[in-house]
Amino acid sequence: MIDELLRPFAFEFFRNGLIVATLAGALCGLVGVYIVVRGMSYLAHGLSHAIFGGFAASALLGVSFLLGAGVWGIASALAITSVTRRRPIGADAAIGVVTTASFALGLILFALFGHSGASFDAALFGSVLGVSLTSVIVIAIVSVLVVAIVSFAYRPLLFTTFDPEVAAASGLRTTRIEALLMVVFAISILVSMQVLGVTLIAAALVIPPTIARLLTSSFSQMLILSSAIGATCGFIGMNLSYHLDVQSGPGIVIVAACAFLVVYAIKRPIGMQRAAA
Amino acid sequence: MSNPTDNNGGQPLVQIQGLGLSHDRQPILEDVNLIVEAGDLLGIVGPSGAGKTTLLRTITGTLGPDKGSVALRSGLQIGYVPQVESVNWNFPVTVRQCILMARTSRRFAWPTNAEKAAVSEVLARLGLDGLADRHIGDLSGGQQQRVFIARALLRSPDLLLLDEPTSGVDVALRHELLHLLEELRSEGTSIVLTTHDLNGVATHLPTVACINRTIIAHGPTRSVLNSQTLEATYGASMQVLEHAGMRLIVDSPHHTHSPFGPDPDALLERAE
Repeated sequence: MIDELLRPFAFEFFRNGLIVATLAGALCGLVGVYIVVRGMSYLAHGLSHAIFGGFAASALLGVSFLLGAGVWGIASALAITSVTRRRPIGADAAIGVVTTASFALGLILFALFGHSGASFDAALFGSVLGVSLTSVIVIAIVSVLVVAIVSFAYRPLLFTTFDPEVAAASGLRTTRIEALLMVVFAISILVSMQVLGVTLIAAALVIPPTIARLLTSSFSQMLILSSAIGATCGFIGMNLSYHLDVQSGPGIVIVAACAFLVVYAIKRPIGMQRAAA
Repeated sequence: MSNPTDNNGGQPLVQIQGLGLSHDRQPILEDVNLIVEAGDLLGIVGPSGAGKTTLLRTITGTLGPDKGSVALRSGLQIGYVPQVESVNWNFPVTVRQCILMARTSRRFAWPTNAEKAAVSEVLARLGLDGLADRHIGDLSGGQQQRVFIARALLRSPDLLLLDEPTSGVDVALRHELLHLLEELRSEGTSIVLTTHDLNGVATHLPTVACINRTIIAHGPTRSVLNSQTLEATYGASMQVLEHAGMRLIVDSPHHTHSPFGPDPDALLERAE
């Protein structure tokens, strides 16, 4: 039994995939807190679809995926911020317009010039295959960078997220802070896409913060808990996907969804507890 | 908190001249002239859509004027308290985390010893001791209002701006709040607030400005709050009554109909 569980660790591709999945889980759990508390879960879904357009374009142009999709993702994120600021268009509509257009463009590019083989499926659902040492290094660097940003800019990010009007009145440059957050979202999704896939990455951004919110009412604790839950789900989900022989994205997401169900059953919303008392 | 009158040489805190501001070509403020002096406790009253909140936003600098100018005294520290109705009470922050947001000079999560002491002091000052680690959604309405005032006070403001602080609060809480503002003013913090509560203004605030896109009147409450000014501001007839030394503002009854609906006797006659 133990031997069977440890067997995949003999493969380098799995070890790399496991590290990336764990780091991606932690990273998505961390930045997902800012998405969930803003009520912008749709952003997680939309931005990953937008980046898919960049993925297709970079494959077509033969440039690095990280470079092509990265530029595309950041441009999409900034476009959302820009469109949102123009009244009377709300954030949800801005996300819908920018990201679905980008996703559609990606599908057209694949249909006209690409090949809908393994790489296409890997982009949609995630794959442990092909996770190189470079992928490990890239996600490690991005994780350190994002943790540094969240730590060093903790109060400005919190103030702008919680109360943007008063934050601006207190002298914070909230437009720049919003743009910084969107770039952080885009880069985090980009480096996590390989193992989580376009269609399922939203779950990694939304479920860990939602579980953490059930467990705490403190913002700093929520950041730590959500990262830890995301990392744990990434680690267990990647192992599960190997043993069940399924894509890594569904493996990680199903573990997170089960964790949510368990925590939700134990920690019922306060209103429900009062009603039952 | 320092007394703002100590070192300003009589210069006003805020001097607004010829302020005009439009949104989607609709004028919101037109030729607004207003001076806020150190030591003021000023109420801004006017109907919905009169530009009260917009005026506060031009003072905080979050909205820039299309015309005219808003000049702030050099080095003026402003504390801004938003409408509590706009707050997301499910947001995962404790009282301490909420108050510490105001200290934007430090960026890290964990507070310094000096910050811990400042938070304890402002919580005690506002009667919120022991609530630092509670979630903001678990507080009563009065406590929630005071948390946001505490957050503004942590910046040691010379000028405190409050947007509709008496909106949606009961009578006891309104009295408590207005007494608190009087105390803060006596300790040296100048205060400007917007409100729909004309009787609260008449009872507690020494100065008032009536606004409806432009300033209709500004000055001592007793001279400004009269029937003519209120009608010019609200476009509706109001009566100002004196009772037991207090000034009360009531809507005038409609000239042709009872304020309580159609005359029941007339309805009965018509039915017959």
